[in-house]
Amino acid sequence: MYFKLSFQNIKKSFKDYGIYFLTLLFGVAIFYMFNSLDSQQAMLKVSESTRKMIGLMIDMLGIVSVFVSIVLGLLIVYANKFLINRRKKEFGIYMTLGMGKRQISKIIILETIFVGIISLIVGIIVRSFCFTIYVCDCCKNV
Amino acid sequence: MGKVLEVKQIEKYYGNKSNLTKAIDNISFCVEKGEFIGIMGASGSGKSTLLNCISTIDKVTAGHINVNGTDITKLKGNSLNKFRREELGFIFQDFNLLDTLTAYENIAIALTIQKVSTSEVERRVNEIAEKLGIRNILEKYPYQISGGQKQRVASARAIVTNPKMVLADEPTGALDSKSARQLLETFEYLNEELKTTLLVVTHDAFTASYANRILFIKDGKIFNEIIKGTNSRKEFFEKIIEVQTLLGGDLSDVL
Repeated sequence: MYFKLSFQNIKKSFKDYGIYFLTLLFGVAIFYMFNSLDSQQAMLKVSESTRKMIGLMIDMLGIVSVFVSIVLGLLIVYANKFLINRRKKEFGIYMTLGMGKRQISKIIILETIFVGIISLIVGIIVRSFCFTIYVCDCCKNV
Repeated sequence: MGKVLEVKQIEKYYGNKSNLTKAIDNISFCVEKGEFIGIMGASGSGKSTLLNCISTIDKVTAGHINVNGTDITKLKGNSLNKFRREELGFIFQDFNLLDTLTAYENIAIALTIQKVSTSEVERRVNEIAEKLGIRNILEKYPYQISGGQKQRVASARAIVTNPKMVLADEPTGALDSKSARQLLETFEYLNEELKTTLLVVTHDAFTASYANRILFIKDGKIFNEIIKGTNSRKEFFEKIIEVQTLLGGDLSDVL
């Protein structure tokens, strides 16, 4: 029942969730791109001197990715708050019908997990796509 | 017939010490099983606060409210949820249906929360829909049906769980006169045929004339009480208007 309800909520409030979904998707794509830069095949083909430079770049990126993760974290918290605020009334109705805080949390958690999984998958796909273009560009320049 | 609701000397204050508002000032009354009670009063007289206290949405400052022998002012957490789930039904002015669900699902959710089996849910929803004449709109979404139909769906949701008491806050407030009449006839049916105990807060004399007993509230106190008895609805309506004139207030409250 809760599963069905959360699933339907996502389906119906797709517009609202769209924002959340895009945020998460963007987050996953950027994050994964940053962190998997050094383990790419293309990186092994570049010359010694450029590899050093790239090594430096990757260290820098490591620091930047911490920063990015903080910003993304805030962004996700904000997006979540925004969504919950929009749905305050809905939760109120659930409560008057006799749902406990626990059951309402269950619905929210299910929805979040569901959207999270989809954005993770799509994000990884988008990343791979972007990454291919990005690396090819790099190689041409070298 | 036993007492369903017993309100004992409740008080409700808003604000702090320097700026105290007494929304409810020592109100006591009883409701028997199967009664149809109307609560009337001008705006700001405390009628909605009273309903909110009875419906456990708000907490009283002092006094006790007993529903079927349980003191609901002392309920907390899970037992409070259980109480809302099993003993109460709510009808609001602005319907409060879930837009993401169809009419059928809106009614069914009240039962599903109680963990009633799917086949039983289906049977009960269809039964109640048949009685309230909303069978043909069960598959529609709230934005596809009219206000009167929405309110009937909301009523169906409120009573499908067989609650001890149904609380309605200005149920006809957002309806045109024709839908209001239909809804009130539905209420009458619920009260007479299904023996539902109804507690309706309203400022509309016409809505109130469907009740068996009316409590008038003024400045947080019970001002008057009139009983329909053997009067026809028209006579009762005139009596209500009389009391309302006595109560004073604006012309808009009288009409």
